[in-house]
Amino acid sequence: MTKRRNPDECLPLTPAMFEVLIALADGEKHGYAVLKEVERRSEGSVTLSPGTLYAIIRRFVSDGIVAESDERPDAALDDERRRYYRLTEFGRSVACAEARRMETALGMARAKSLIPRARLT
Amino acid sequence: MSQTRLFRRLLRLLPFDFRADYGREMEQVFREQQREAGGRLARTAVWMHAIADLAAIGPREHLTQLQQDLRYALRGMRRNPGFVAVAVVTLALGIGTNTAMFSVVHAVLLRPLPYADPDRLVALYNRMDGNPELALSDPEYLDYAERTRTLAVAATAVNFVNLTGGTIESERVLGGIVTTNAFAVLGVQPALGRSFRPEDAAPGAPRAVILTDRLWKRRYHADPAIVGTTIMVNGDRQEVVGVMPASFTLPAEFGSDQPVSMLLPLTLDAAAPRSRRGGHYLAAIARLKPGVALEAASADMAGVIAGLKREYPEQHTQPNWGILLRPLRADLVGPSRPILLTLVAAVGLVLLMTCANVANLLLARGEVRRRELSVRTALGASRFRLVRQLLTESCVLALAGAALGLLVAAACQRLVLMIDPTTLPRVADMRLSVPVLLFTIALAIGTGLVFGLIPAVQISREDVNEALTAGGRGATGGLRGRVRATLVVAQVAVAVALLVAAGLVVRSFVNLVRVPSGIRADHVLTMRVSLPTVRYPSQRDVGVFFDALLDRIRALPGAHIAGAATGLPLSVASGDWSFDVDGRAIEGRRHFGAADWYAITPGYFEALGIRLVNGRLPQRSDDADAAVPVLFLNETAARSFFPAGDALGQRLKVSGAAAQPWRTVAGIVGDVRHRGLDRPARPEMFFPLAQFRHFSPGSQARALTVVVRTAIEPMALAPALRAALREQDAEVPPAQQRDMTTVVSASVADRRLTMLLMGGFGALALLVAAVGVYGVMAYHVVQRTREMGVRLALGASPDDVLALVVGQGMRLVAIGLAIGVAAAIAFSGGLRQMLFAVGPRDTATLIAAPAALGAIALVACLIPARRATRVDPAIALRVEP
Repeated sequence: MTKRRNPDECLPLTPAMFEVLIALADGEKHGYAVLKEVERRSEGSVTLSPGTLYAIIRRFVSDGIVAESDERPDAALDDERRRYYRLTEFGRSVACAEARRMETALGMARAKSLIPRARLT
Repeated sequence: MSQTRLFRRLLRLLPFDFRADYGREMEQVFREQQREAGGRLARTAVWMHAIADLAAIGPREHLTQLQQDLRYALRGMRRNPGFVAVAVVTLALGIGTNTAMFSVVHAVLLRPLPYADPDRLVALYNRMDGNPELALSDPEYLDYAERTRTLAVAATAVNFVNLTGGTIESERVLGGIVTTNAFAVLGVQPALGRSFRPEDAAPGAPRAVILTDRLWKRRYHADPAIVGTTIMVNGDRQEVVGVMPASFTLPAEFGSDQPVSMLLPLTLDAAAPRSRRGGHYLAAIARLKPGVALEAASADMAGVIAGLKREYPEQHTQPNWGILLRPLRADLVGPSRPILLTLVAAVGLVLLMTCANVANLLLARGEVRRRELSVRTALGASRFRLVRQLLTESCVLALAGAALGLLVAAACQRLVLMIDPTTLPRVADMRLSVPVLLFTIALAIGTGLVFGLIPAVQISREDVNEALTAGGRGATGGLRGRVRATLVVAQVAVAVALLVAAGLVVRSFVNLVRVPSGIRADHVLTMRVSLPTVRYPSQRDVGVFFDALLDRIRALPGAHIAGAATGLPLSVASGDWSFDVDGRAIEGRRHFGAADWYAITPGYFEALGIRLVNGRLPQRSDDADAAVPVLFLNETAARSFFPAGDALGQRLKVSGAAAQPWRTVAGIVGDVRHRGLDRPARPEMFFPLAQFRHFSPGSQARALTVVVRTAIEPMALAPALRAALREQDAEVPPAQQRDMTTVVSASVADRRLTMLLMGGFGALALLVAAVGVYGVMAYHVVQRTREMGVRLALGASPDDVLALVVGQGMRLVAIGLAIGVAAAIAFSGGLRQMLFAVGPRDTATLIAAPAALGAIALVACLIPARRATRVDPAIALRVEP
């Protein structure tokens, strides 16, 4: 029986890592889909290249944050050369931990009036 | 090339595993990015982004993987301290000796010469049949320098000078005498003051000297105010005009055991008639003028010499008189090159043997690690990943070995410096410098790859299933056994070849020191004394001084016999003079013969134990007033010039000058190997100092070595000897006070060094080979415990088992010995330069070396074999196969 791992050990994540976790949060995706999702959601401010993307995936896979998915879409839509990735349970807890960490940081910044009201409304 | 293929190339920046796992997906993503980008500009942007991205990620991923491998390797090493210790010590010996050799090669051969643009410098010699490197005479130097259009020529010579004056004790130092243009030709400048100007060398000009850094610091405490003051050189007041930087070395210092302490201007009389072209003592150095190649300069000098031959046909009668130009670097360090390269080859072979040993250790350990590695393979590690992991481990081992090896290297360096060989110029500057350390690191990584590759490839070839099911020795086990056997054979072969080489060199040295030198070196103290012209202008003054000094010395308690001579066997040799014999025809030659000459005092032969062969030894009555001037010959001279045995009583006259008298041969003394134990005696003639007459100021006999046979330990008499000299004349400094055994020992220092190094490498090879054989046989026995048990259970006697194991081991050894001896026979000719009185295919050595190695290998086989005979069948049969 393996020891239950503490997600905080994986923190903090780089922005690109966090973006990848967010992209996988609502279901498995192949690499290109992750890349597109990140680009779309950040409105082009975060663009991943294949190198960065797969370095992150590789690290996540070896850390057990992301796993290759066995489920594949309908054969008609599928390209069998592609691999699909999904968040593991542990990965989900890492994403949550990172989100909480950011929330705490945000709260502190707000308490110290580092974030002007105008930008928030 | 398609875009995808270009991208695939780019992916090579990533580690292999990364590419194997995700390469195809990355290509696909890239293709889709390209498709979506549409316009050329956007596609270019995708490209730029991908390139920048991979350039950043590639090194990072490599580093991460290396860190992982290192962590894993270190963890593994901590678990096996015994294995690590053996491997690291073996490697330390191999890498350390190689580092030491490289530091020697770097100091001697590779470092640039300490001159500006040193590759444009050449050494210039007269060249003729029988004398390919003759130094220049004054008129030759002047003619060559004036007439060449392609070279700037400078000339240098060295001579001892006496430093006296002030409150500091007198001393005798080596002076470099240089033409004033030497600074420009070499491209060096004083650190303080100025270099020589042409007027410094004008006849009658105020004398100027330049100190070297060494003398400036030692004698004048680095006082910068020394420039402009005067010091006493050879009893003359001379102005110090400059101080050279610490890096300065006169070319003449290379290969000399004496450093130059000061520079003096060489005064040449350009107006003197140039027809007297004898007196070859100048070493010429030239710089090729801009744009001139060596060949063009050689052609130019050939023209110069052709012109001179027409002008002075009488003086150029030697056949094929020409000029030799040789790149200065080759001239200065070239002679040590072959010996160094031989030593490098030997030490490189030792390293290869240590590699084979560690490879064998790793292979044996691979057996132990089969399960561990198979588990990793089963968990998805690729073969490449395993090989890399194993290579990382071997490189870590090698680096640890290299770190320890630096201690070995430092010890070897100390040994080399202790022996202080003069044929390895600049070796004293050898350090564990940055280039040497870089070499060591590169060597360690290279070594790690060499000894790690075979085991890594072998081990990673494992069949996962076979290993995991704890199967027996499969096909790969057998293959690995063969690899190990091959390594042992190779090791033994290399070891025996090295041992033969070492044996030959050691035998040469033993032969050399056994050569009868012609003297009795024990209980003899020597001291060089040189008299300045200012205080002792005539040859007669010199004679009177030495008579008085020797009388003083003979009166010292502990001194038996004392004498002096212009030379000293194995240390100071002189050139030859030609002579004629009364009543003998010269038959077409210019003179009857030529022999090396020395001026001697009574007591010289007795003090050195040189035996009298015929006639008598020099006496006090052989003085300037004697009615019949005499001379003495050595046996070689007597034999070669008077083969009828009638040398005694013959009358000889040194040729060339009318002022020389006829001298009668009064005695014949035994031969002395004056110029080196490895060089046969040359014809020599000895003149009593009191009757010596010189030709020119340059050939006066005013520097003599006093030799004293002592009743006590020689060096114990040294202070008394110095005191006697001081009492005789406090302005005359003693020099080179050594006992004669030290002189003899120093004369063979170079060969002692090669002997110790080759002998050391040979011994190391023997040790490494023995350990290698032992390791393989011990492992072999462990692997076959069950088989041995079965054999013993079935009735085999312990002796049968012993014979089986020893037989298997010795078969490998025998093959190795045969190959090694064949290799030694094939290649030992390359050692010729290092050998003395022993042929490169010396039978005794060719038998003794393999016999010694065979005997040690037999012991290495016997230890594990005996263990095999003690196997308890009942236990062995229960052991997992």
